Amino acid sequence: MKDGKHLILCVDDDTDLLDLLRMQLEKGGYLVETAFSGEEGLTKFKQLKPDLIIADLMMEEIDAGTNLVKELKLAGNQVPVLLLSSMGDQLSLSTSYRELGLDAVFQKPVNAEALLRTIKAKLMR
Amino acid sequence: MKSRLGPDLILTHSLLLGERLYLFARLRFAAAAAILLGGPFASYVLGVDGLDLGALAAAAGLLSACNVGIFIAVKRLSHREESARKHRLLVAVAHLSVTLDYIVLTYAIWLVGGALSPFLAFYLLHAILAAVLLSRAEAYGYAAIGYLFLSLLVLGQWSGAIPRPHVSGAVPPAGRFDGRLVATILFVYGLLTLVTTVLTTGMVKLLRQSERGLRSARERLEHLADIRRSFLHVVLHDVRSPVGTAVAMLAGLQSGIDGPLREPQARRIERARQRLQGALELLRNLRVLADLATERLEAMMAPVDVRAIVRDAVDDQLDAAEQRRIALRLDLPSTLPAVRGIERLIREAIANYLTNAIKYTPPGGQVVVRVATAKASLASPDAPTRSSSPGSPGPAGSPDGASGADMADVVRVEVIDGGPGITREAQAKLFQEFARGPGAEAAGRTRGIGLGLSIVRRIAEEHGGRAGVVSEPGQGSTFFIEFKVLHA
Repeated sequence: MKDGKHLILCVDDDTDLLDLLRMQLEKGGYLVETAFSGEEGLTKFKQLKPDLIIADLMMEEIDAGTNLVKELKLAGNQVPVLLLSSMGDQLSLSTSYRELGLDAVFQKPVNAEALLRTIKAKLMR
Repeated sequence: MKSRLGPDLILTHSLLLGERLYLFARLRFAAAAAILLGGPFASYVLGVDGLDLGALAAAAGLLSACNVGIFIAVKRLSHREESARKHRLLVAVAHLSVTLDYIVLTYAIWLVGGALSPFLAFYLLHAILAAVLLSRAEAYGYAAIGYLFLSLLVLGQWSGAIPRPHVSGAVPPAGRFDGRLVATILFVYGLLTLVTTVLTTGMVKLLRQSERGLRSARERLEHLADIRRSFLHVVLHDVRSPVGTAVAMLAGLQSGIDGPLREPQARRIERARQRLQGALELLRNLRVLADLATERLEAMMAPVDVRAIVRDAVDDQLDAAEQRRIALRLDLPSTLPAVRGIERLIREAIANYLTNAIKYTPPGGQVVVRVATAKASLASPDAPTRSSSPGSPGPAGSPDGASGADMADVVRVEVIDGGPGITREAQAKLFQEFARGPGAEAAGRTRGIGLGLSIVRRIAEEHGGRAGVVSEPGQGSTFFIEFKVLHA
């Protein structure tokens, strides 16, 4: 937390979507940091120690999102991770998000109210 | 295109050599038994005199003893992948076993009469076996070796170097071993060996070529399918991603993120959002179709929790239902038998039904999602199955879900809407590709090709189940999808 507000790290290579997320999350009372790639996301995670992470599934490469989640796990991540996905993004039909340890998966286009509700619930735990 | 298994191997030969050797090792045990039992049979049933039964038994024993080692070796290597890796070892085993066969064969033939025995024809059988087992050059080599053994036996007996056994009944009575007879035997068997080997190796070569061709074609097709799938995924993502972002930005505007909208602005933005949403759904369906086209779906299937999938699918639709003031009710049993499938496709099918139900139910109405176990019905595909779930006894009247689940063939998911209902004529075409229900225009749907229900039907079929609808005009519709239960 910073200045009494929770810090959320948003990782997506779509600048428009990041812009939108930032506006929606700041309106919800959160501090937002952004990263434009999985690699940058991992770096910022280590530097900033966010309270929650939102990542897109497909970024600069296929499965970048799931790779990031795995890297976060290896880096000892304990905070909730939400994944943004277009339905059917993942190349592997047999991928189970529960097995990856994700806290939630949101289908794009993301409903802002649903996202804020989920974030609030996850941060309260 | 080079095979992944190795560049220089004759693929089908190396792949199947282990299996063939394993088969012949088992047949060799039968051959040893035949030699063992054939002696007494010939002596006591056919009335052949002078057979050395002890020597025949020894020949059978030698064959069996050597075959045990061969059998153990090839059993481990009979799997195709192992067969390709240990090709040289298998070829050595093949040489050893063919040599063993010729030695024992020659000895056994000598025991039952030698050069004049009808059993000489077994040399041809072994020439055929060598042609099937080994390469063409090796087959000719072994046919020549077999002919050499035969010639040694015949010439040896004619010259007196090999004693003639005193067997009567299986061979002509002892008499002059005419040189012309020897020449005729050698000529006939030589010719037969050559012709048999040429024909058999020729046929085997053709078979191997066609097998190799089929295998290459299949690998090429799989490779192309992989490329096509990857291409499609990337293309769909590259179109879907900006469209999805555009929808999100419009939704953001609608939520007042940049301030309140005037009425005409709000209306136009809503129309734009709906049009883009329709395009997103089309892209989503195309993506699922691409997934369904993969041949390896069966291999990707795993036990799935249908209850969790249905719950997730319903949660995803809560906002859309709320926007249209539609009550979304979930009726789940406390337990469900396991189903084998692909979680994402099952969720896609249920999401498809839910999206339609929410769109076609008038505001203020209700959509119910019910999950139950059932026995698959042998009646027409549109007939409801006999359900067994709490609160919905089927025609068989089974009282509770737990006992029904023990006998259940399928897990049935129903989505019951409050829409206008569908006529019988329309129902018949509903699950076909590019078909749309008659209420589509009335419900204010944007124009577009109808893929969703055909995709649901295909997903059901891939899961060994079925999809359909029960509906009457004016009474809403029950869309169902069934998944085969995974029996232990």
